[in-house]
Amino acid sequence: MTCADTSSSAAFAAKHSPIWYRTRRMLHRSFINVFLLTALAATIIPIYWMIATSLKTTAQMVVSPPLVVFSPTIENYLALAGRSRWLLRNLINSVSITALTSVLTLFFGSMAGFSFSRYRFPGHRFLSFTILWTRTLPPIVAIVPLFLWMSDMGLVDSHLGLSLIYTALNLPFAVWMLKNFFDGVPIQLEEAAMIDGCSRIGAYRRVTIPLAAPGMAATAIFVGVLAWNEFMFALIFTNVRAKTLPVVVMESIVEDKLYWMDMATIGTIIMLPMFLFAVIIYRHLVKGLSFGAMK
Amino acid sequence: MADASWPRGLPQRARRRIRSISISRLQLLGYSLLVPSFAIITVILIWPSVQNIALSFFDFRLPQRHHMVFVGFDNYIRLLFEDRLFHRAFINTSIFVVGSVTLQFVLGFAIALALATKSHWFRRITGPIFTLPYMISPAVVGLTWRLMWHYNLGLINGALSWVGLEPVRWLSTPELALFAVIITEVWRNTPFMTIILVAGLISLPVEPYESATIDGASAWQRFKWITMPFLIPTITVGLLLQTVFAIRVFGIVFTLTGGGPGNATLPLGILLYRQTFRYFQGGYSAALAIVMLVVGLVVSFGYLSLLKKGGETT
Repeated sequence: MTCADTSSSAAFAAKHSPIWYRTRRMLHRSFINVFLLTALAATIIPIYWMIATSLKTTAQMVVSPPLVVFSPTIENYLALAGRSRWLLRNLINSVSITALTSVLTLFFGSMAGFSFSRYRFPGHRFLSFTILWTRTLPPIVAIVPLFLWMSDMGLVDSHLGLSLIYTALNLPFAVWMLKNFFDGVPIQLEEAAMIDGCSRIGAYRRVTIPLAAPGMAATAIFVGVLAWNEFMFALIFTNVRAKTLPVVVMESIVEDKLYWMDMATIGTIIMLPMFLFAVIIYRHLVKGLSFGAMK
Repeated sequence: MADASWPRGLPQRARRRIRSISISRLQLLGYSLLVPSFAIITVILIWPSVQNIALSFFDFRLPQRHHMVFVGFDNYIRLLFEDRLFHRAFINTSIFVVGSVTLQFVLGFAIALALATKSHWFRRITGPIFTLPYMISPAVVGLTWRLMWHYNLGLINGALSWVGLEPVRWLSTPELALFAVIITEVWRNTPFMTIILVAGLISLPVEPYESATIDGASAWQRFKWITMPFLIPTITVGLLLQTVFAIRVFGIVFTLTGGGPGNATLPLGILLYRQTFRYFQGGYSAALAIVMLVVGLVVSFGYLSLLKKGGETT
């Protein structure tokens, strides 16, 4: 008995000796670091590659194997600016459709999010799940009838039409994100404001909105990003007047020949604002998309 | 006495107002705030989807709606039992969904776990970088990777040649093209999984870990008995969303391969697009859309029942 005891405690001591502990932790840590570095590299390299391509000349582009180090030039951007009339128009389309979608979604979504966050009514749970569940329906199912009635109403190839579609697509996530952010504002603050003489609307305007503002801004950006990037509906529901940039970049494929410079240049223009937005909304995204709290 | 010490005027009026609003009026307000959102979703998505069910029983060419012929289940029978292209697209989509969602989950979970061991500021800096691919338009992602996989100009074949391997025809070999499409999708969508899992991980309560460590639980035991049960709802919702999004994949494949070579990477979404906007097959494409809807519904109910079962046992 005693013998077994000493041997096991010796094994215990060996296993938990400071040196073993430290090496194991170091190995563990460096494994995690290598993994994260690889993942970071895999994330960045394609993005770098597109930006690099947009800064290459045709001669630098067609070298095989590809050049990783080269002297960058903004020639492609200047060339694009030279024939920029159509592109500028598409850029304006993209910006205005994105803005309109964000405004519509935030306005209606914050009403619903506030309702889910503050009021308890019969069917609350059912309705809040239903709205998230509509996001799992493939919107492609709606396309044929939607296209037919929108063309009857003259909404095909219009800013309003596309924005309305994006609003409907984004409302489910937006409502849930906004609900999560409103949940973060203590209801006691609103009550205090009302006791101090604010109306219900006044309490909402003076207390709730300022406190939930960062979250609302993050939601607006999140929605805007989706609208800015959306491809399928933009391809189907626009021809000329409301065509957005993702459709334009797709058109750099002409008869199976890709104009790589055009693609990379326009692609970089589409992507650049996202760098900024990713930094701004990452933290709020983590908070807003915690669906785990819905159990 | 406390009441008497209150100043006259506004506060009392406010208090009276709070008391006077009956619960049913508040509930009515709650409902009415939901109306615009539900109205927009219904008009744009739900009602056309319902109409689509009706259209799927007719035969018609798309621009006109006047020569609609009722054909019953003919469209579905043709689609499910005769259309080889549909079978091809169904198989492609299945492989694509299983492959990409599995990889996204494994990678996303691994990155989230690794990030959770890191300090707060490390997450703040690398988090946005990890999020970036998810914030790039699918059209741009597809074209970027078209360049990455390119035989002569692509970085991947470039990397292969630097280590002395033969270049590979990624996008013109059927099996490899599907693989390339899956990897591209994984590159773009893993961040979504990472974000919601990081959100789940950093909101875990600390106390169970402390008591488990005191009780001598190993890291693996803590992961299995504390982390996983807490994360199951998050994981289920994440997998559900990723799966239904993968079933309807469109933009990335459309710009990366266009469904080719042949129809080796043709997913249901592009097949539907072609039937609708290139061949103008009204009823037939409506039936195809309904089939996609049903597949998505079956999958999401499967996940949700899994979630319920998990909720009961834990």
